[in-house]
Amino acid sequence: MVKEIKDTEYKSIIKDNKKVVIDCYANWCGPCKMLAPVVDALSEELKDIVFCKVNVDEAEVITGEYEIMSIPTLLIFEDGILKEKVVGLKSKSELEEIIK
Amino acid sequence: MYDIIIVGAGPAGLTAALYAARANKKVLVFEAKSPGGQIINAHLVTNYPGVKSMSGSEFAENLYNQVIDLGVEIKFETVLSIDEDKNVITNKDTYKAKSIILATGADNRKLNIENEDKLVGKGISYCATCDGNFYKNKVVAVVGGGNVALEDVLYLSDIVSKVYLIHRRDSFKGSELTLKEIEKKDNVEILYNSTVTKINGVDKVESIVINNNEQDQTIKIDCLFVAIGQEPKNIVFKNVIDIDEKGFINTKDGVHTNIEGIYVAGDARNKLLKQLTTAVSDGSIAATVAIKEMEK
Repeated sequence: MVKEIKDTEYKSIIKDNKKVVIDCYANWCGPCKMLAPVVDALSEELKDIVFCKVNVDEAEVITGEYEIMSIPTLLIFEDGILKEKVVGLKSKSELEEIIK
Repeated sequence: MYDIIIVGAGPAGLTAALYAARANKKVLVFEAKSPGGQIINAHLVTNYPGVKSMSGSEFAENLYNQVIDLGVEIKFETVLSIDEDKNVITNKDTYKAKSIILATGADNRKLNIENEDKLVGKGISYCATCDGNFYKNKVVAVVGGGNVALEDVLYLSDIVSKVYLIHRRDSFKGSELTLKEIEKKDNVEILYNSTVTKINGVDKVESIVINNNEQDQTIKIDCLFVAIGQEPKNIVFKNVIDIDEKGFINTKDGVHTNIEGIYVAGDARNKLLKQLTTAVSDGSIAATVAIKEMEK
């Protein structure tokens, strides 16, 4: 399951969980919409990882902090620290490799 | 054993799946990235008969849901190879079908110049509708000469302060109607006979170098949108399938490949017009022919 979160929540989520993936999307972004089923599938397979999504139009803190200038972007955190920033569409197998 | 395995979940592949599922065939669709194909990048589709105006992603989403609702199975796996016996090997498993439809589509072509890969998401973009909003009141450039480049310029001109349109030729391949709209815009400057030769910037794009008639010109921009066409993704099939020098699948009649029971649909094949209309047409024909020949 991919949980929709707010800008204000992400710090505690990345602090409280070992691994977190945040899918940065917007409603006007076509590729973001079509990436959603892939991220859903990943979240079903990688149950020990927390998957969230955030609407960049309502997330000035995250977009500023991680300099998001292109979406979809996946932010992958481990132990509260940004481990990878994946920009654009990648294959599910590539994403699996990066996230694991 | 599946009746039909379809490689690619763009408009061609999903239309093939729609037709096959409606004929009660057991269908499996593979998609390596996300469903929808190239049309998801289109700001607006305005040349699809019966649909006056719709965003590309809405079209893709509708088609995807239509196919899912019919019970078609979609696996997000990367196809690594196929063989003449209709085995499909992916990064996860091997699958077998009576027929295969290759609807792999095409990927964005890159400029292949220094800094391009490094600065993706930092001022290099292949999707104006995704990233245009991040450049409100900034200066951007679009490189390309086809419909996508022209549509991108029109879309961006309402968001940014200035758009340079850079094209290597002296005329455009894209729609004259769109070009006329662009020419009405005060904030668009068209640079003909020009190529982008360099991208400058360390952490983000700062400027690009344009070569025009052997003279270099540096222009300061915040983002370069690359819309120089697509390239096919059929290389993994080359041991089995007849592919032309550019990587598109050759067909005699627009649907059959050189292997019996393996068909092609959409931009993956060598054809005159690569559009949404021809992609869905290809998909419906490929599925219909595959079913007919399977039942012989």
